[in-house]
Amino acid sequence: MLSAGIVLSACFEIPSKPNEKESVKSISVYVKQDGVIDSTLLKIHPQDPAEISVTVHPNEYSDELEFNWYREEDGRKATRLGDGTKFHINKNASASSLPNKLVATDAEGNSLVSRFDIIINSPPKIDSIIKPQPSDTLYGNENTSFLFEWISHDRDNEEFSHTILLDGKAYAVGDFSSIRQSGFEKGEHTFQVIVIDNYGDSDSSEVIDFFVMNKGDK
Amino acid sequence: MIKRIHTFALTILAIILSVMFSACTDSDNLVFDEDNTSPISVSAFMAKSFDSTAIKVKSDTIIHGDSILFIANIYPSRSIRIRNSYWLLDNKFYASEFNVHDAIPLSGEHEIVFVLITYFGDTLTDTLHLWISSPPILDSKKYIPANGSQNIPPQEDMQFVWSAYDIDSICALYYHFTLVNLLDEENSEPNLIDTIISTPYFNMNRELKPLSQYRWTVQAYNEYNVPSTATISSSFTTSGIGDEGAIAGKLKMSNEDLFTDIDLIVLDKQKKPTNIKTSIEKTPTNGLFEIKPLPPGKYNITAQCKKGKDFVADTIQATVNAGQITTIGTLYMADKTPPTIQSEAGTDTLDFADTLRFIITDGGAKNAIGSTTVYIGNRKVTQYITETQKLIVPTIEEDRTWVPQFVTIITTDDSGNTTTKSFVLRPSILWFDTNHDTTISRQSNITIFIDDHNPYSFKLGSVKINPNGDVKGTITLDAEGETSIKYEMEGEAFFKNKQEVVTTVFYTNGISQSRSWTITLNEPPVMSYENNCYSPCSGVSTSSVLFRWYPAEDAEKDSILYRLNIALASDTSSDTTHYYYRSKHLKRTQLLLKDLPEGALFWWVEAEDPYGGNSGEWSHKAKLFIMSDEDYEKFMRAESDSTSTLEGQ
Repeated sequence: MLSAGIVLSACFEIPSKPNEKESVKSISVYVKQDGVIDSTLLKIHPQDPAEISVTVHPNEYSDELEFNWYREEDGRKATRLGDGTKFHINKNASASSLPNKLVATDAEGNSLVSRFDIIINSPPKIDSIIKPQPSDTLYGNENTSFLFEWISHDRDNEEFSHTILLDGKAYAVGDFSSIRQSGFEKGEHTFQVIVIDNYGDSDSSEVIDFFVMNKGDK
Repeated sequence: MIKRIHTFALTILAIILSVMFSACTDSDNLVFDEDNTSPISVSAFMAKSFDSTAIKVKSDTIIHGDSILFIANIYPSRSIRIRNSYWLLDNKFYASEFNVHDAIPLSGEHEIVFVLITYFGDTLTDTLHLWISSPPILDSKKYIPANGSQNIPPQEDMQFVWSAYDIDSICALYYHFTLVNLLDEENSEPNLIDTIISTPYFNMNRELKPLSQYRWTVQAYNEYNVPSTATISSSFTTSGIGDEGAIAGKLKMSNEDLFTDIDLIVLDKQKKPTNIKTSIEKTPTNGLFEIKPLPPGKYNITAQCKKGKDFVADTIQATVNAGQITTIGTLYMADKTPPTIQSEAGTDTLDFADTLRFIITDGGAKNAIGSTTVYIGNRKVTQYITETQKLIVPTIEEDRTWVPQFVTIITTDDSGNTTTKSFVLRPSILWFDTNHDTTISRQSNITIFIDDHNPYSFKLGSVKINPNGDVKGTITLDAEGETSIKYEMEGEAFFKNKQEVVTTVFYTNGISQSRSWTITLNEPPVMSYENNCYSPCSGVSTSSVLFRWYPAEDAEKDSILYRLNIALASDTSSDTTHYYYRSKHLKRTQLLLKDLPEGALFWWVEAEDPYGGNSGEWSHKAKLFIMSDEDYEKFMRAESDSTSTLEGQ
């Protein structure tokens, strides 16, 4: 009888104390701009406003926490920039005006810290295709090297590279702004330039149609 | 008593035990001697195969999928007592054999350790390092500029683009890029660019030559120096100034020594040569050529060889476009003309001699005699002499026979063209005598003789004399019952100055024998009043006269002797001609005579060569009037006065 009682009692889960809560495991931030959420790179562009939001795990304790956004520089005391679960970023904000530290505090004074860096990156831009112009006719034969030339830039003056598409065939041409290529049969062909920076932001030119004809066809 | 026996037995037992103990124990061997120990050590190696010549290394890089052999060596021997041995691969158990032949499936860097635990528990290890990498993948079909690109501006920057990736995604790639002028490359000139870069594109800011061909190459390597299996090797050409174009190609011929003697000829549409490249001096070893500049248009390209006239080139049509180099491929110059073989005498039937002489000619520039085979009858002649175009074949005793036999010569030129020619060699053993090579004056006659002395009593039937082109043709003489025949021919009867005469005897039993000999007709010297009279050729003279004449003309430049003739009448045709004087045969061309009779005299000179050829009389003779010294003085004074009066008037 005694042994049965021991076994039975072992099968019952001992409940928590009534006032004891589970702790918040972690907090993390993400950015949202133009309806697009980025929780990995935390990358925004300066042309539109954006906001930084916090995610709490488990989420049900979010309301019981107090959030403060700080800007922390090396060797300096952190500057508090705001509070709440969201931090609004104005258009054309500079990186130094954005928080890089979030402190979440509960009623007992326990706190969790999340450090992050918001990237403000402007995508590179194809300014123009110089050669060939849309519907240009290039005279030559299959061995004639034709010039393909374009202008592009990066607003942040960061490194960027190009991929050109000749009749849909891609060539990674680095930072070149022109190449010469041959092997075009008589007829219609296409040319397009794509520029991409180190953050993966890119811009594409329109698809240029051009024609190759033999000189005798003039 | 019993006790005494017992004591004795114990003593004996103690002695026996003592002896046994001492016999079983070698006290020296129980002492540790450091010199007798062998230290145990291990070493590990890698090799590509079990071959004893395979190189053993401690670290290596192999291509993914390749197998490699791990070898463990234990010293002093693998047969020592050990507790355990095994291999670790990246700190995990790998194998337990001493030798392991395996292909490690994971790319990257690996550490392979051989572990040996000795009988006493000591652990010995040796470590190997192995890098396994797949070769990078280089796209050898997609790149910029495409193969054969033309019109590349030589003064502007040039961009090269290609693509490659590492199949394992663990290695950074780098690229070996080269650029070379095509003609310089063929001449083993250094590359214009030879560099290692880390990007799959390259901007070249070096000025190139206009209208020239270039080749660029790329091979990808990964960090372990494993090269891509594919390489890019592509060519392009630079543009010229304005509309200038060019033609490029490769000349191919079997004799490449002649490259510097080739004229490349470019004919325009009107078949006029527009550009002749005198030689392929830039590419003496491989025949590459560039003909530039040429205006755009259609052309025919051919070649001719100055030294090897047998080499004949194809004609290739090409169209030159503005700013482009048109590649015409290979222009073949073929030698299909075989060498020619002839005897030095020019005949196909030869007299037997100690040496037989032939002339071998070929238009392939190199002496074709070098590869010649000679047979006399069935005997292959192994020793013969070759000079420039001359083949000298010595005969041996074995070649002597009384029947004709063939001399066959086979010669092959450098282009593989073969000529086989057979000559008939007359018997060396002749049963008759006839004339030998001789020279006579064309003005004289020759007696052709045949003296038969055959040892078999064969009977002569007939004799033939073939002067080979003589006006009389072949002369057949009946010789029945004769052993000696003679036939006389005039020198004038022979057309040529030198020709072969074949004398043949026919025996009644059907056997015949021939012999050739050469007759040379010497032309007589030529003299005439008009051409050879020097002085005095007319007029008056004292009785002392120095007769002088110009040397006679002689076709063979023979040594000529002269004879001065003086007659008192101009007609010397009759036997009654009165010669006042006939000199001896003189080598000189003048003669002084004194005390000549007063009155008219006629003189001329006859020239004679060593063969009896004589120039004969002059048709017009020199005429002199001889005076006494006194009369001659008066005559001259009167002549002088007459001249003065005329001048005074």
